[in-house]
Amino acid sequence: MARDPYNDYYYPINMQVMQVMQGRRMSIGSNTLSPSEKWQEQLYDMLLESIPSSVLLVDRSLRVISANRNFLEKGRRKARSTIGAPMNEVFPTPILEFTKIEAKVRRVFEQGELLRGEQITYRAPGIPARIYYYTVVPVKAAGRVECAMILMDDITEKVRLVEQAHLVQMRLANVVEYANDLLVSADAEGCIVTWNPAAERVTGFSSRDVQGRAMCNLCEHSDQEDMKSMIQQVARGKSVRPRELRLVASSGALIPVAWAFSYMRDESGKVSALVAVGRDLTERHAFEAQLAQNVKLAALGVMAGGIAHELRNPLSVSYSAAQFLNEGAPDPAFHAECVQKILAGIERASGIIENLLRFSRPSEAGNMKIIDLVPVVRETARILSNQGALQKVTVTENYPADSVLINGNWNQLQQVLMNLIFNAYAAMPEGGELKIAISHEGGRAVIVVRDTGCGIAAANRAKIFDPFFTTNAAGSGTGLGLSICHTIISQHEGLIDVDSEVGKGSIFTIDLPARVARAQ
Amino acid sequence: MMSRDPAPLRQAPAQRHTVLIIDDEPGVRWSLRHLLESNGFTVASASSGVEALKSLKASKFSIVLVDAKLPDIDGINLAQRIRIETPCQSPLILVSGYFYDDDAVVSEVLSSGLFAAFATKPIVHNALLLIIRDAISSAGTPECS
Repeated sequence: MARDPYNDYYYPINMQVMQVMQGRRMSIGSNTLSPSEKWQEQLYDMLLESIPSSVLLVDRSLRVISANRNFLEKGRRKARSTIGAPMNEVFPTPILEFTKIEAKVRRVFEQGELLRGEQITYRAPGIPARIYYYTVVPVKAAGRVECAMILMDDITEKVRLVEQAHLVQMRLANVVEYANDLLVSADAEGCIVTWNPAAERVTGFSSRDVQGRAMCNLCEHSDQEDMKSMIQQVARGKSVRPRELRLVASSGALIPVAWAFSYMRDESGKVSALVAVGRDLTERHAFEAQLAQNVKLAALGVMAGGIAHELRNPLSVSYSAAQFLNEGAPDPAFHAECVQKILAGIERASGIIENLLRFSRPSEAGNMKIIDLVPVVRETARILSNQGALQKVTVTENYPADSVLINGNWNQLQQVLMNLIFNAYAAMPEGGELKIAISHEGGRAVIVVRDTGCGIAAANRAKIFDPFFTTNAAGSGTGLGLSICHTIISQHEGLIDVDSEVGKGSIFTIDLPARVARAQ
Repeated sequence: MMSRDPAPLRQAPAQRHTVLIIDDEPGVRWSLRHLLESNGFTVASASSGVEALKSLKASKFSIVLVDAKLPDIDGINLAQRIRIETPCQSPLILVSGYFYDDDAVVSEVLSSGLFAAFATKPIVHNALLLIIRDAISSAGTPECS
């Protein structure tokens, strides 16, 4: 047994246990053990051997009386060369010099007071450095310190974990600190607990300004109810779709923010905190508005020919009539006819220009109110009817008799309709039929735009809402029209979808949440 | 300044040239008819490509004014069909507000000889009369009735 190097550690332990017992007997001051004392001692020994701490007992001459298994294993020592050896032979010189442990143990003997809370980094030959936390306990017998117990806990793992946790925390703190998004944590009632620098920057409110305030009170008045219901749902542990709700900055400016909420549960499973990530959409809105405007202008460019033709016809008639008058119209009836042609021609040209102006005017993004969808669609179809007639497209419109109320932005929705109708015209270069309809069912307002054009290949159907996707030749389309439609409809909390068959045509469907008319 | 009643046409009232006006816009047809009739032409008109092809198959015209945008057939396409589907060899004049003078499309149809001339809308009466007279004399078309 003693030959076995692995078991070599175990053999001397019995010896050491005996010595520990002797030492203890000495402190108790008795040589005989009752069976219960014996039992108790066995228990102590078991404890000593199994605890994950290293325990060393030294006498007043600083010789090791006892060392438990943990100490021997950690120090790669054998009991034979450890028990009875002076302490300065058991500890490596660097530790003795660095910690001055001998002097400290001596002081414990002199003063009889516990010494705690010192850390040693110890590197035994051939093993990675370990970190210990040690305590020196005076073991007294009749008021005199007979021996000192050096308790050492290996805190390497603990230190490493603490460091790691600290690092993770630092990293997370950095993420929160330097994030471009607003990161807000709140209690389950929606009162703000933390507010990151991005939130401070965007709103102009410092973390201290908003601490403890209800999040919904920081929103624009008409968005407060929505924020409140969003918070209530998340607090009930429900997941909610991200929404755009505006914050009121300290300057009074309204800041459009896309909010995504999540919750944290405590051990009992109750939602204890809310975390909100908000993205400032100001720049994005400006960019989208710019894009939308560019697409509009590109569309106008394509339409220029048609517009020129439309305008020049009434101009030509008026011009001819004026030339006849200038030549001296022979009879009063023809004179009157000429005057009438001039007036009618100018009126028609002016009407076309008015439609053009409406069309090219930039849309103000993000401004939503309760509007009737029917005139939006009807007017857009009317503006584009010139182009349709020019392309031999028959337009059929079908609207409900009542108004269809939604929360939306007139200009943006007009932009969507314009894109869809314009695409339909482009899909029917040889003419065709365009059907535009609005229906109103089950709290939804649905717009359908159906053409009898070339259709969309199945492979392209998933891509048509992607920005810059176009099947048009380079230079003839931006590929942004439908992507903008998608963005706008999403902002309206609606859906846009397409059904199409190559050679037969396409059906675009827009599904928007309808609003009930408020009783006056 | 606009000059009144160009003299040469007045001098030969017996030799009346016939003009076919193809335009879907009633106002334009009204003004062209009045202009040309008061200058000694016999005028017929068509409001669509199909109608024009039918007239050209049935009757001869000294000159044909073609609008570039018609509800059924594109003006340039119509010109090609006139040459293929009808016996008409008279000069064709493209009249349109859809193009401008040095438009690539216009240059092409003029240099290919498909059209004898191009007149933009709004129509300047004297300019159009000059174009028509030039086209007729260079084509040397005998008067038709």
